Amino acid sequence: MFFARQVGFRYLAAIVVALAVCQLHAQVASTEAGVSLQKSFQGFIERFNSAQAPKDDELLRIADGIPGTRSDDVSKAIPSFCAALLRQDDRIKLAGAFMLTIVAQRSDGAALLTPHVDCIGRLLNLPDERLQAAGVGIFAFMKPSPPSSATKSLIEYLTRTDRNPMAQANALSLLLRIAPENSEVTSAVDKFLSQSLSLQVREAVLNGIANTRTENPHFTNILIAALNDRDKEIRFQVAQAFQRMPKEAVLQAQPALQKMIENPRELVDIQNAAREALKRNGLIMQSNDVEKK
Amino acid sequence: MNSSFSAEAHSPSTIAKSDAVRPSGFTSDFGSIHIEPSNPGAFDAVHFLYDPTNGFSSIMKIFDRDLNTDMSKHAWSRKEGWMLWAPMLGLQTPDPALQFPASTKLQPYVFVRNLSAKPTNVQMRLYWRSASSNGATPPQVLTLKAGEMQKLDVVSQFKNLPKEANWATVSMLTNSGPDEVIAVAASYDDTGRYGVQTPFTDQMSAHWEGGAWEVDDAHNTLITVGNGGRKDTHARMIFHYVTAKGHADYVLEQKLAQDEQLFIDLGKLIRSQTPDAKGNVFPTSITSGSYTLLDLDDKMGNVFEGKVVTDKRYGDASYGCMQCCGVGVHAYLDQNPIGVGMGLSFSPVTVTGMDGCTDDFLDATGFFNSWWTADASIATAQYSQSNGISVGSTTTLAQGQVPRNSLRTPCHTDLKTPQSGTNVPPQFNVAYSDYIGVDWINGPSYCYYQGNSNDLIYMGDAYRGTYRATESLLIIPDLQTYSGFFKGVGQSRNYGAGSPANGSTLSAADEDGIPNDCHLWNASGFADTSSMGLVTSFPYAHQGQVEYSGAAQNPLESTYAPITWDMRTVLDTTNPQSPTAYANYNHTCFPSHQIKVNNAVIYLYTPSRYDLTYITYCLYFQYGKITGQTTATTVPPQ
Repeated sequence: MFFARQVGFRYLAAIVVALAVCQLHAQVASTEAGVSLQKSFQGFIERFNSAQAPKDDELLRIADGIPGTRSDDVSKAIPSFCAALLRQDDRIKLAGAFMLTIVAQRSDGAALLTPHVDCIGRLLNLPDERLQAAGVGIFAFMKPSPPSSATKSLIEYLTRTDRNPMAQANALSLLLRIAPENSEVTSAVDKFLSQSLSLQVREAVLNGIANTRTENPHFTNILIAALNDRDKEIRFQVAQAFQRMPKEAVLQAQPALQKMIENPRELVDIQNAAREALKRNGLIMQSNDVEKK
Repeated sequence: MNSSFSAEAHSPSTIAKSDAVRPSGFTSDFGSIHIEPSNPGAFDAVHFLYDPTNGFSSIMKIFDRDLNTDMSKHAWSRKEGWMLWAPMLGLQTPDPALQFPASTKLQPYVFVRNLSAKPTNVQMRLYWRSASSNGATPPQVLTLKAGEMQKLDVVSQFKNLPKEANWATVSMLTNSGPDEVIAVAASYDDTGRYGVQTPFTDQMSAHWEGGAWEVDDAHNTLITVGNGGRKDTHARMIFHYVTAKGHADYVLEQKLAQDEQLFIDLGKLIRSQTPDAKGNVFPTSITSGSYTLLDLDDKMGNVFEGKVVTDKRYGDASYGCMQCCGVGVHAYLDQNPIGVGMGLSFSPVTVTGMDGCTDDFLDATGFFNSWWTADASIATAQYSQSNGISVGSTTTLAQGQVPRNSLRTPCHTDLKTPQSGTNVPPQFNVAYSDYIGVDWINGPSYCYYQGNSNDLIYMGDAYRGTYRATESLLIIPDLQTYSGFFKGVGQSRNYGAGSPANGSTLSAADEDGIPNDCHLWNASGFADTSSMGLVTSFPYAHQGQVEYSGAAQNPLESTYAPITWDMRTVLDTTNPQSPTAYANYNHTCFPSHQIKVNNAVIYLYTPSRYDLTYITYCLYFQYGKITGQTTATTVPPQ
């Protein structure tokens, strides 16, 4: 019995020791992973100072480590990514932004990056358009949802007139997601839309509004006004956009969509898109339609 | 009787007819003269009659006869037979416009001779007019024996001709060949001093030139324009004159049915100040000019013209002849070589000729009714059109009867067959597309279903024959043309919780038809195509370049991450049987990008990965752009 107990104790102790060693190994491995991600990235960006700049796919290989790395280890590497945003070389800034974007796409992306909202928001103040777009994207990709603390910097960004309009359009959509009822957002959007915008940017705004599925009538009215746009691409995109809007918004737009459908001068593709928007919300019933809801 | 005479080279000879016929003891008061040169084409002749007793003289018509002619050289003729027209036969009661003494009574005769060696039937008809009416006599048929000449008394022959009729246009429809019947209509009073004559002619043309007109105190000009052709038509008469301000025209236009005539008293037109088709009037001071006659509807022409200029000082009304204007010298196909794409048509293929009177270039295409090619397996032809069948070269030929003229001979038509090389060069369908080569991919966005966050997935293009974006066209480098440019995008479709329903691929089970609920099919939309562009160029004789560029942004995503491309395909047809193509490419590293030339893949890029990190890398950050140039490879010429 004693033997047995002794053996048992020894066995138990061995297990305890083994577990402790394992835990130690795990801690060492975790730290190494974080250090490795950080070191790899540091090594990558430092090579921009050498005669032979690193290749894009080397950055991709480093980023590939992010989705599978533990949160703690990623968290440890984030400061190095943020630090890259302070470097003079835009290529290094962009590499840092890319790493942060991949972090944002993790399921814990918001938790990891919310403490670094200021770091990310700094991108919006940089002159390089790609970096501005990256800043908006990092916020937008954050899971499970973008932090509301980004609202202020995004509103400021949207109201500037010297920024990348396409990234601003993306920021507009993001603001509608995180602060749909914020009156400052509404004002900022109106101010942004009062500018002369390219076709692509206007389309991005309309799709951005639709993709948030906002129920705010103010934004529905923006879409309704676009149904009468001179540009057929705009009319097509906004007719499609109503396919993604809530039923309340489509009801609000129903007269305008109906008018579009009945306009003999309107293009068939556009009319079909408008018809589909009404149909998906049960506002056009055809005899052969099968209500699947 | 036969007699011969000789003439020195480049020297005129004069033969007094009375001297020539007196010894033969002729008792007839009419006859004809046949001159047959031993050296055809070496001489010309003019024949005139004069009577010093009563002051009469008149040029007598001498007809050229072409022994080798046939109906094909008179392509303006009607199908019923060879037809002759005498435009202005003065009838018994002279037109006051002729300014003959009031008591003058004319005796109209038609002198007709059959030159052939067989009997000929002649169906004669008079289209008469008086000051107040017009009409036509029933046709009268007479038969002429071989070589026979007849003098027909018009009054006794056509008993129902109204006495008040002043003029007649006489038609003769014969069953002879062309140039085998000649005829002259003449009307003189019994003194032989007052009268008119009008020769018969078969000439119809779309363009007549050279008529002169006079209208003054002593002269007047009377003109008949007739439709003696094959169909109704519109005639335009343009009177040219010169004033102190320069050249001016007076234009008359009238539709003429078959056999219908337009009678013009030019002096009356001037005096009455009748406006023309453009509202202009003749200045009253104008006394002379020239005129042009056109058939506006038919290139071969249906119209003839006759004119008399009266001279009240001498009593004679002399007839005048316009020159018919054919197509001078050469007619040629303007397109040489003709280039036409395979399966395509090229038109118009045109024939240009030169106006025989004015030397102006004219569109002669309408004369050519037969079109064909030497090798119908390469190209076929129809009127004014070439059709490409297969790659190769052949010859296109057009054939038709073309009116020709010289300065002194009548018009005739010649069968002309201009031809042109015809190339059907290689043509290429150049198609670019980018597509997601797997069933579905993870997107960056997420949605909430029953309180849980779900990554949205996007439908791919694998095994669906779909694409994200595409551009295509048909280009023919050797013709420096392209057509059928198409640009389009595939539908973006995202799916939420529960997809793929079968655990591996998106299927009908995912299509619940309920939008925006984050469960199974969620949303769909088409990207904007406005940034998708095309540039074509043809820098060398056998090279064509197609450059497609564009950016396609998923409309269901609110972050700008476009697929971009700039793809230049260079086609070389130096060897048309073995053309080559290569591509310069510059595109995002996601998704697949492909260029096909005539369905042969000349460039294909397939990404190594489809995960979100890679897509973010390629599209959102536009890292890893794929650039380069393929080597030239042989492509099918289609």
